[in-house]
Amino acid sequence: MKNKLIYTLILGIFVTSFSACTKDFEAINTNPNNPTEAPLPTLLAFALRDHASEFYNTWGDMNEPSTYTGHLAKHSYIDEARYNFRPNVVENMWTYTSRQLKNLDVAMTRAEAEGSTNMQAAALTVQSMIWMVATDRWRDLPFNDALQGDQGVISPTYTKQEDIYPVLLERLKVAATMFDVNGDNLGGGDLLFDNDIVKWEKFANSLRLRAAIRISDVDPTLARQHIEEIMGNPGTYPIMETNADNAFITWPGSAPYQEPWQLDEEARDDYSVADYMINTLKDLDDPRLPVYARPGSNGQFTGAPVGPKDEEIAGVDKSTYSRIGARFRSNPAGFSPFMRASEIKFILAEAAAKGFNVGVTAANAYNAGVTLSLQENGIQDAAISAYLSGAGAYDGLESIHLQKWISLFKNGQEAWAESRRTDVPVMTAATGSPYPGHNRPPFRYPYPTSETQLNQANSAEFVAEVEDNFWGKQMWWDTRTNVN
Amino acid sequence: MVGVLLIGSAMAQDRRISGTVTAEEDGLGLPGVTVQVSGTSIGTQTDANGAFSLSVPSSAQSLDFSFIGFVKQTVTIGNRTTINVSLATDATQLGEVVVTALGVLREKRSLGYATQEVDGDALTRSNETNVVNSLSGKVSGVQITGASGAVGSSSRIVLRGNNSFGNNQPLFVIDGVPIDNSATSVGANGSTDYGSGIQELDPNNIESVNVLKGANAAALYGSRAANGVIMITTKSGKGENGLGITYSGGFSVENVAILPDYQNKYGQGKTGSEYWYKRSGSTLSYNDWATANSYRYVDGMGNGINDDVDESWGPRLDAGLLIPQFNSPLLADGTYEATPWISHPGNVDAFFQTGYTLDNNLAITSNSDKGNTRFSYTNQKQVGTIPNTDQKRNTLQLSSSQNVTDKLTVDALINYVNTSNDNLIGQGYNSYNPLNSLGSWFGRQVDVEDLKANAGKTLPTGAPYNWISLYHDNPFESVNDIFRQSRTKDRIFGYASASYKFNPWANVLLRVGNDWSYENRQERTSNRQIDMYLAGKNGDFIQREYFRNELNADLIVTGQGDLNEDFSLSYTAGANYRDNKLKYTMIYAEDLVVPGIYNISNVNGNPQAGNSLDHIRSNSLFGQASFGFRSQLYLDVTARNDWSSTLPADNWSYFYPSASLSWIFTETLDLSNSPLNYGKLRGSWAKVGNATSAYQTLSTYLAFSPAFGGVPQFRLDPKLPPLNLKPESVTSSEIGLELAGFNNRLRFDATYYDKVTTNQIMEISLSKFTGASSLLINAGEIQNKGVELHLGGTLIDRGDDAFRWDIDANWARNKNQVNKLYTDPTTGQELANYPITSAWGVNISAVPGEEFGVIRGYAYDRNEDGAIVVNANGIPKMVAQQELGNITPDWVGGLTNTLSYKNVTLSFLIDARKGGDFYSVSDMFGAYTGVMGFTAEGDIRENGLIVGQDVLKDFTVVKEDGTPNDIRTSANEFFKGVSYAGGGTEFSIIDGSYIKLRNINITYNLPNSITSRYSWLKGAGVSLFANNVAMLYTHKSNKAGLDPETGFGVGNDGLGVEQYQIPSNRSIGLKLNVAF
Repeated sequence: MKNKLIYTLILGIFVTSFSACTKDFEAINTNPNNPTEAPLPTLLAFALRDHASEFYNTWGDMNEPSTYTGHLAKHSYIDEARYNFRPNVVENMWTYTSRQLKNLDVAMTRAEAEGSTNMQAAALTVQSMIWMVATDRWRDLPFNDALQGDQGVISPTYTKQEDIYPVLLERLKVAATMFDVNGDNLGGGDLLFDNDIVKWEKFANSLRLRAAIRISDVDPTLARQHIEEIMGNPGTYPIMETNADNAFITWPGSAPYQEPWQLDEEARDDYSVADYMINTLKDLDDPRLPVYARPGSNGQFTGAPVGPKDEEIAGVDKSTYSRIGARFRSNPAGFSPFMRASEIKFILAEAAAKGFNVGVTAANAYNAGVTLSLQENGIQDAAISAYLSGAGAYDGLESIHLQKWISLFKNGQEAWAESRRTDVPVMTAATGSPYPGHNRPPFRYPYPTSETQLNQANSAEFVAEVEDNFWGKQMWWDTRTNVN
Repeated sequence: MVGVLLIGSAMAQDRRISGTVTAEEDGLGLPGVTVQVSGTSIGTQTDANGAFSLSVPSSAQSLDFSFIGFVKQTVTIGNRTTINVSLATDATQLGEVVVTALGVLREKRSLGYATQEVDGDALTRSNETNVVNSLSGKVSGVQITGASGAVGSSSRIVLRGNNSFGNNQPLFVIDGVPIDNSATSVGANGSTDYGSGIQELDPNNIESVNVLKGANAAALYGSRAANGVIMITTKSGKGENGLGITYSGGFSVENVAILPDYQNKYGQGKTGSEYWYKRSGSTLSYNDWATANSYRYVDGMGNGINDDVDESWGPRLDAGLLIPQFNSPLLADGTYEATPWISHPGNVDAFFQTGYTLDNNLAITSNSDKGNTRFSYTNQKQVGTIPNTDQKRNTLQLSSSQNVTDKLTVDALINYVNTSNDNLIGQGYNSYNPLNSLGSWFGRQVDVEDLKANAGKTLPTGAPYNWISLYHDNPFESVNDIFRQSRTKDRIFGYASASYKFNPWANVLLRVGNDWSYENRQERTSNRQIDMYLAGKNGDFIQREYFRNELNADLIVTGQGDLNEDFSLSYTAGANYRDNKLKYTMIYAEDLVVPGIYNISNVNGNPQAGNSLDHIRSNSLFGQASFGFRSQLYLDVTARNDWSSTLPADNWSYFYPSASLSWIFTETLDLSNSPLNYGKLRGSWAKVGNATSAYQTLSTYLAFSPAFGGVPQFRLDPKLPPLNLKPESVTSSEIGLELAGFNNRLRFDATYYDKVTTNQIMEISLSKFTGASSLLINAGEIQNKGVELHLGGTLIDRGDDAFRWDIDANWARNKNQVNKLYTDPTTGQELANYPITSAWGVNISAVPGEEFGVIRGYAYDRNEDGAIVVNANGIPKMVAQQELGNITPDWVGGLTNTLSYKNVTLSFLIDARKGGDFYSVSDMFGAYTGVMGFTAEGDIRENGLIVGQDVLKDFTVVKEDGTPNDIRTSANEFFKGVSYAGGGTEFSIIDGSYIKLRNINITYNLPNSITSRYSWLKGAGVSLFANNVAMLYTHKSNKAGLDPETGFGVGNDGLGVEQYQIPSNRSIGLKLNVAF
C-alpha cells in the first residue's frame, strides 16, 4: 500500500511537470534580435551603399579593374597588377554581387505587392546595372535561374552573356517607363538622387544606352533599336545631359563611411597613376593631368608601369611616380561614380559614328562629352575650348574611345570593359605576370571556388572555358581578334 | 539460457549448506556474493551480513563464490554443511564501478557499450590546466587538437570522428549535471581564442573522468550527447573519518617546442641574390649593386630601395656586405650608415620568452558516518611564451553530502571560478598575431633583440620604431602595448540535490543544477598601431559582454534488486527541464578622441553598439532498465523523449531508444582453469535525437549599422530558413570484447562501431547566385565506422616492493564517409558539396561518397603520363579544384609505459597520428616571401633552379611540348609561382602524420616506513614531468618543420588549415602532493 502511494506520487509529479511543458515554446523561439520585415528604403540604401563600398574600393576597383585598364598601377604590393591570384577576392566579389542583386529583388517584389512603383523601378534599374557589372566580369553566370534559392533552386543553371544583355535592355526600358514623378517616394533610401524621380528616369535610360553600345559590335541591330528608340523619344526616354545628372554616391565623410580610395590612402601608399594614363594625358597635353595625378618627388609627372617584374624596377625610386590626384584620392566626403553624363555623350558619339540615328553628330556629341568630363574636373571654359581645338579635337571613333576611357577614371570596371571592347589604348599584359604567353591584360574573372563546388554540374562547362584564371573565352561583346 | 534455467529449477535438492562470506581485506561480511554449485546453475546470493544458505544436490562436489571486484573462489564441499569463505580483492579492478549517464553508478561489467575511465591523478600529474589536453593519448578513439601554445586557447576534442557538419564536441557533465562548454567561434582565419567552458574546470577537483564514447553510452543525455559524453566526477570528502588536509603544488616552465625551419642566407628585399646579380651583368660590386637594386633602408616606407618590402629575397647575408639598415647609426645628413648585413638565426625564437604555470591547491576534507564535506581552493597563474600574455584563475569549490536520516541524503556542490587575462594573443592570419609578420612577412636579417630594446621608441620619421614602417608593428610593442585582448570571467556552477530512499526499489532524487557566467572582453588597438599611426587615428576598442545561464532540473527515480534467484533489475526513470540563455552586448568605438582612454565617452564619431539574446528550452522524459541474469548477462534498454523549443510545433517532440547487451562469458562457460580470467562480449544499438539552436525557423532582416549619413540599412538574412525542420538523429551500433588473462596481467578491450548521423540539421552553403549564402536543412548522412583497441599489460611484476612494468596502448581507426548531402524537395536539385572551411583558395569539404574533410585546391597541371607540366617560364602550371588530401587521420594511437620500483614510478607517453592532411599558410606564404629554409636550400638562390631537378625532385616535370623541363628559373619566381602568385596550393598540403614523445613523468612517494613515523602525515609525493618532449617523426611533406597538430578553436571552422599557429610549448616542471 505504501509503495503504491509512492509510485502514484512520483507519477503525479511527472504528469504535472509535463502538462505544460511546451506552453511557452513558440514565444521562446521568437527571434527578439531581428525583425521579419524591414522598410523598403532600407533595402535600397543597403544595396546602393554596398555596391559603392565593394565595387569602388581597393579590392573591387583599384587593385584589379583599374590596373587592368591601365588607369592605375601599383608600386608597392604589386601582386594584383601582376594578376597574382587572390581566391578570396573573387569569392567576395561574387558574394557582394549576389547579395546586392537579391536585396534589390526582394525590394522589387515587395514594392510591386505594395504598389510602390517608383521603388520597384529604382530597384530594377540598380539591379540591371549590377547585373551588367557581373556579366562583364564573369561573362556567363546564373541569371534566368538566379535568386530563387528560397524556391528550392539551389543549383541555378547558367545563362550566356548573349542572352543576358537583351533581357537587361528590356528590363531597363520597363523600369524607365514605370517611374512616375507623382508616384511614391523612395524615402531616405535614395542615396543617388535624393528622390529626384526624373534623374532616376534619366539614369535608367542612360544605363540602357550603356548596355546597347556595349553590344553594338556583336549585335548592331539590337543596339541600334534600343539607342534609336531612346533618342527618338526624348520625352518618354530622357537621358543624362549635365553633370548634375551624374549617378554618384557621395560619401558622408566620417568613419566608417569615408570615400574608399581616401580610406585606403590613410594607411597605405601602394598606388600610382599608370604610365598608360599619364602618357596619354601628356600626349594630349590634357588639362586633367594635374587633377588626375600629382607630380612625383622630382616635380615631374611620371606614370608607373603596370605589373612589372621585380628586376625591371630594381633600384627605381618609387617616390618619383605620380600618385593619384587629390580629387579622387584624398577627399573623405568624395564620390563613387556609378555613371557620368560624359559617358552618355561618348556613347552617342560612337552611335552616331556607327551610323545610328541619334539626332546629333559624332563630333558634337564627342565635344559635349569632353566638355562634361573637363567641367567635372574643374577645368575652365577657356582651357576646354583650347583643348577641343587642339590635341583633344575629335578624330574619329578611336578618339571617342580614348576620351571615354580617360573620362571613366575612378570607374575601373566600366573602363576595363571599354578596354576589352575597343582595345583603345592598346595595352599589353603585365610583364610580371605568372602566366606567360598572354598579349593583353585579363579578359575576365575566374569563377569562385564556391561556385565550382556548390554548383558544379552547371558551372563545369563554363569553368573549363577559363584559362590561367583571368583569360580564356572572351566576352560576347569583345570582338578583338588575335588577342590572348 | 532459458533452458539451463528450467533444468536448474527442476533438479532435486537434498542437502543444505550454510556459511558466511567475508572480505579478506577487512573481515566484514560481503552481501550479494553469488554462491553456486560448480557446473550447475543452482545458486543463491549472500544476505546483508554475508550469510548464505543453499540446498545442494548430493552429487555436488564444490561451490563457486563470486562477486564483482573479488577473485572468484571454488571450495570443495566434502562432508561439510558450513562453509565460510574469505574473498580477496581483485587487483585488476575489473569489477569497478563506473559513473554512467545521469550520475548513476553502475558496475562496468554490466555495460553493453564502451567506456574508458581516466583517474584524476593522471590528469594533474603534469600540471596541465586544461582537462581536455590531459586526456591526450590516454583514451582510445579520442582525437584532441590543442597544439596552440597561446595561453588560454581552447582544445578541440572529438570522440569517434566527426559526426556532424556543425558541432562535434562531446557533452561535458559534472556529477550528473551538464555544464556549459561553449566557445565563441574563432573563425576560419582565426582570431583571439578565449577558450572553451570546460577549461574552467580545475583538474585538482577531479576524482575521475569517464569517457562515454558513442551515442550508445549517452542515449540518456539526449540531444547534446550525440557526440559522446565526458563524465567528470569531482572529489568528495569521503575517506577516513575526521579531518584531512591535502596540498598540492605544481610549477612548470614552458618554452616554445617547435618552430618552423627558417633560412638565414638572404635578407630583406627583392631580386637581390647572386643569381640576379650575375644576370644583371652589372659592373658594380655585388655590394653596390645590392644597395642600388635590392635593398637599402631610408624610411621603411618605400623611399629607400625596397625598404617597404616585407619579403626575404634580398641580398646575401654574412657575405661581408655593408647596407644601410633600420638600426644602423643615423648620419648627419639624415641617411643611415651602411652596416654589416648579417644573419640573426635565432630571431624568431628570440621573440618568445620562457613562460610558466603555477598551480597551488589546498583541500580540506571532513568525513563522518553522517556525511562528508570537501572544500578546495586553487590558484593558477600562467604566463605565456608570447610576451605579455597571461591567465590567472582562482577556483573555490565546496561539496558536501549529508545523510540527514538513513533514507534522506542531501548533496550540494558549488564551484566559483574567476578567470582573468590581462592580454591574450590573436591567432591566425591577423595583424594582431605577431607570427603573421615574424613567420613569413619578414626580413630574415632583422635583429629582434634590437626591436625589443627599442620597442615603444620613435623613428626620426615619427613612426613607431620598427624594421618597416608599413603593414607591420614591432612585435614587442604589438603584444605589450598596441593590441590588447583582455578578459575577465566569473562563473558559478553547481547543484543541490536531495534523495530519499523509500526502499531499494525506489530512490527519488531531485536535483537542480545551474551554470552561470558573466564574461567581459575588451579588444583594443592603440594609436601606435601602424595603420592607426599612418591614418592619424587615435586607436579603437570593442567591448563585449556575455551572460550565460544554463539551468537543469532533474527528477530521477532509481531502484534495483533481485527479481528472483536468477534475475536482477535496476532502473532509472526521470524528467529533465533545461533552460539556456545567452545574452550579449557590444559597444564599439572606431576611433578615439584622446589616445589611451578606452571608454565609449571618448569615441571620435558615433559609438556603435549591438545586443542579442538566445534562449532555448527543452523538456525531457527518460527511462532506463537493466536486467541482470546471474551476474553474467545484462540487458539494458533506454528510452527518451525530448521537447525542444527550437523546432516547429509539429516536430518539437521526438523519441529515441537504445538497447545493449553484456555477457560475461567467462562466468557462463566456467573458464576458471584457463588462462582467461575474464571475458565479456557486449553489443548495443542506440538512437539519439538532436535539436538545433534558437530562432532558426523564420527568415529575418539584419540591420547593417551604422546608418549611412543617417540613412538606416537592412538586408535580408542570407541564411534561408528551413522548410520543415525535424530533429536530427544519430543511430549507432557497436560490439565489443573485453578480455583479461594470465592472472589479469594482460587486459584487452576492443570495440567496433558503426554510427550514422541522418537528417542532420545543418547550414549548407549555397551557390551565391541562389540569392542566399546558406540554407538550414535536415539532410545529410555521415557514417563513421571504426575500431578502438585498448591493450594493457603488466610485463614484469616482482611484487609490491620490487620492479613492475606496465604498458597501456590505445589505438583507434575511424573510417568516415559522407553518404548523402541534400536533395531539394521542391525542385529535386541536389547539393554535391558541403564546404566545411576554406582559406586562400583551398576548400575543405564534405563530398558524398568520400571522407569528411576532402581538401581541394589548385594542383600542378599534369599531362596524361602524370608528369607535371611547366609553363614558358619553367614554373608548374596549375589546375583548379583538384583533390589534394583529406583532413581525417587514418589512425591515432598512444602508448604509455609505466615502470615502478618501490616508491618511484616512471611513465612516458608516446602518441602518434597517421595521416590527416592540412594546408599550411605558414608554408605557403613562407615560400612566397622566401623566409623558409627550403627557399634557400643548396645553391638555388645563387644559380637558379630547374623544376624537377633542383626542386620537386620526386616528380617528373616536362615542358608543354612534353620534353623534359630544362628551363632555368629563379628561386623567387618558382616559390612565388607555386604559392600565392600563381595560385598554387598543392605545394603547401602537408601530411599531418607524427610521432611525439608527449610526456615523461617521474613520481616519488614517501614510503610508509617514513610516513608512519609521523602521525600527522598521511602521505607525500613529488613528481617531475616534461610535456611535449620531442617530435620523433613527421612526414617529408612537412618541409617547413611545422607542428602537424594545428588548428584553433573547437568548431569546424579552420579545420585542416594552419595559419601562423602559435607554436606549442614544451614544459618541464615539478608537482608536489602532501596529505595531512
